Amino acid sequence: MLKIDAGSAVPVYEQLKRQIRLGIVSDRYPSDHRMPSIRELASQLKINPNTIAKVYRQLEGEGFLMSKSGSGFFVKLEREHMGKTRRRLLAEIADEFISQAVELGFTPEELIKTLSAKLERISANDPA
Amino acid sequence: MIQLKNVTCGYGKNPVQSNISFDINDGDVVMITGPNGVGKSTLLKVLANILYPTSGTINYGWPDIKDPRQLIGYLPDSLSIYKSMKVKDLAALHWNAFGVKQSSLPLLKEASIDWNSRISELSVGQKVIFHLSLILSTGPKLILIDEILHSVDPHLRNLALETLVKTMADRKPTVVMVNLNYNEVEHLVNRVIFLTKTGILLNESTEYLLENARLVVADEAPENANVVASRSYTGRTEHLVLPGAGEQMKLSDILTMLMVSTYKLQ
Repeated sequence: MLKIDAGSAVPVYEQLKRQIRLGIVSDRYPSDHRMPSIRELASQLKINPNTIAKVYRQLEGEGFLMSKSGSGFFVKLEREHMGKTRRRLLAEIADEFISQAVELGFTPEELIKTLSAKLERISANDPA
Repeated sequence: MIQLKNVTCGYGKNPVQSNISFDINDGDVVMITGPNGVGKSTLLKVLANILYPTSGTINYGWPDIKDPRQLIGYLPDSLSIYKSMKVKDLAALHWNAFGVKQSSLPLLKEASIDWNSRISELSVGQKVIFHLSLILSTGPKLILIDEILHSVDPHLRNLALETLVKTMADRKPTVVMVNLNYNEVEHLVNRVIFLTKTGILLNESTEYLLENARLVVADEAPENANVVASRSYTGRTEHLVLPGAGEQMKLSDILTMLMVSTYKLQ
């Protein structure tokens, strides 16, 4: 279910784009899944319908959605593109992590050290 | 496009607002906000064409329409509807006046409003819902909503906003609302007009505000930046710069800060 974090300074359309992309890549919205209509989603989230239209159009431009005239937007992600898209999303998350850490004044060495320590702890807790 | 040119408005000899001008694009969703008593509701009445400006002009851009009120749906801050009439009779009267052929209002059932009850028997919230659905039923090109939704309980307010958004998606009307509760509508509006006693302090698209308004925490106001508001808050001094460099802000925080700053100036 798509939702808005009211406390976040991230613009609403950006929040929605991220959630939908994540939903598609994680297969929560499988290929050919029909996205909620602009009207439905806008009224449910109480946001301007133009914002939803902008999100859907941008995701269409990025190759995540496809519009069928008169019947709305559908998920379109070919299996062979999945790997590439997942890597792109990971790169975006990494960019955000790095830029925030740099703002706090950490060096690349400190980032790598923190990440490795975290990952070690996670794999120790998760034998799989 | 709706154009207000050099509008002075008010009651009696003292104008509430003098010589203000602004344009509203078709399909815009505008929030008029500002401190109490600066004439937000008066300005909305001018837009509703029920209060004529003492000077200046308002042009709706509907050259073929004799009376602009045909295309305007106005929800005032106090509902002066005929108390002794039945819901169904008032609806019929309204549709007759607007020349609309309709026989039911879908929203009434969801608000538990009986088609046969008298207006005086409805709660404040039910009256607002009834009035709103009546307004929307005539397909206005311009929808004007005063602060009235504040007196409606969360369930009915949710219902009212959902209905408004659906209407926005279906018919793309121009919407102007007077609002003090920013959180509720900050993602609905695409333009904000901040009104003060001395006129329009700010008239910007929300897109511009979100991209350019920044928060700077510093004892002294930053030089070489356009500081539009400052306040001291939990022991630190904050400045709102537009444009400038600093922390990103939410629309509701921008407007809250403007409001605090405006009161300090008075």
